[in-house]
Amino acid sequence: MDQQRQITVLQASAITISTIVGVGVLSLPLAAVRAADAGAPLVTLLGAALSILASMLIVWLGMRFPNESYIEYSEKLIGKGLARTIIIIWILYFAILSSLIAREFGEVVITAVLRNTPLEVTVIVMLLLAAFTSRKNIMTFAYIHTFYIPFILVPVLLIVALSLKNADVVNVLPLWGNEPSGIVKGFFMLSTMFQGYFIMMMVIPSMRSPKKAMRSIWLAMLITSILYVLVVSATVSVFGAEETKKLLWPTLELAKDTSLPANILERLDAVFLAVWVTAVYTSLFSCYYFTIYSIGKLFRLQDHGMLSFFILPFLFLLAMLPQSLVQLNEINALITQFGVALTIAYPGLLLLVSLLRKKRGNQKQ
Amino acid sequence: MIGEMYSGYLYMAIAIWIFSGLFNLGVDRTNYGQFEMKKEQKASTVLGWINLSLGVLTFTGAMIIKLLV
Repeated sequence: MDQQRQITVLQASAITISTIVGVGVLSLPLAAVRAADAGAPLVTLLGAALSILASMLIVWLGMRFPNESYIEYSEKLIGKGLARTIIIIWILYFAILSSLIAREFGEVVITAVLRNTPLEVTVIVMLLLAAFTSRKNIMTFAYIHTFYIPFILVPVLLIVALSLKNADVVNVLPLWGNEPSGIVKGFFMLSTMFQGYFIMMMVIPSMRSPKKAMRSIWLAMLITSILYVLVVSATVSVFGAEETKKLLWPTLELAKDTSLPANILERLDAVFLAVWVTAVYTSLFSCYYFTIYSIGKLFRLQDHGMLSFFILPFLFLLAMLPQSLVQLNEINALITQFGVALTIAYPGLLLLVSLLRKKRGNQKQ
Repeated sequence: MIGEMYSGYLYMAIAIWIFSGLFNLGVDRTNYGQFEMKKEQKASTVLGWINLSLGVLTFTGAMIIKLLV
C-alpha cells in the first residue's frame, strides 16, 4: 500500500478541524459582537455558511485532480507563469499567517500566563515546535492532528456547556441584533475565522479515497461551525454584547467565570489555556507545514524537511515586526481578509477553468 | 535602527539563522547524501549557506552599527 495515501475521511476531518480551531477562538466573540451586537450568533452562522461554500469549492477542485498537488494542477490549468506567481503569493500569505499565529500566541501567553517571560521566547518556542514536527511526512502530520483533536474539542465543549448556567437569553435577543446592517459586512469578516479549510488542498492527494473528501469537509465544517456558534452564543449570553465589546479575549473571560457544579473547581481558564495552546499548535503546524510543502512542490523536491529550518528565522522576524497588540490586530484583520479572498478566488478560478476546459486529472489511485 | 529598535530580538534571530544554517549543512545535507537524494542535498547546502551567511552578516553589521552609534 502506498505509504503516502493513507489518510482516511476522519483523519482529514480531524486535520481540518484542528487547523480551523486555533488562536482566533479567543477573540471570536469580540469580532462577532462588533459586527452585529446581539446578533453575534447569527453572523457567526452566516460566516460559517460562506466558509462551507468556499471549502466545497476547494474540495471539488481537489477531487477533480486526486493524484496531483495543487501546484501541479494549477500549472496545468492556467499555465506555469501565472500559476507560479500566484503560488508564490499564496506561500507568502501562509508564511505571514504562521508568523501572526505565533505572535498572537506569544501575546496571550505573556499577558495571561507567563508574565515575566519575554515575548520572543514564547514565539520562538512555538515556531521551533512547528519547525521540528514539520520535517516529517504527511502521515505523521495526520497522526498528530488526529491525536490532539479530542483534547481540543472535548474541553472546549465542556467549558461552553458549564458556562451556560450563567447565561441570560435576553442577552442574545433580538437574534438579528440591534443594527442588522452590520450583518452583511460582518459575516465576511467572520468567515475569516474558518479559513483553515485550505489545508484540504494539501490533504486530498494523500487521502485513501479522494472521492470521499467532500464527506470529510462537510463533517469538519459542521463540527467547527457548531463549536464556534456555541462559543459565541455562550459568551454573548453570559456577558451581553456591550460587555463583550470591552473584553480583549472574551472566550478566556468566559472560561474564567465558569466553574464546575457546586463550585468544585473554579477558574477554568487554566484548563482552557492548556487546551488552547494545543489548538494554537495544531493551527500553526498546519500553516507551517503547508508553507514548506508548497515550496517543496514548487521546486519539485521529494522531501521538504530542509525547508522547515530555513524559513524559521524569517518567520520569527515577521512575527516580531508588529510593535504592539493593536498593530498586530490591525495587521491580522487585513491579512486574514486578503487571505479569505485568496482562498476563495484562486480555487474558484481554477475550478472554473477546469470545468470550462473539461480538464481532469488521472482518476486512478 | 538596528541598535535601538530591534535590539530585543535581533540577536535571537542571528542565533536562529546560524543554528538553522548549521543544521541544514550538518544534518540535512548528510541525511540526503545517505539516501542519494542529490537535488535535496544540493538544496540543503544552498539553504544552509544562505542562512549561515545571513546570520554572520547581520551579526557583523549589528556590531559595526553598535560601535559607530
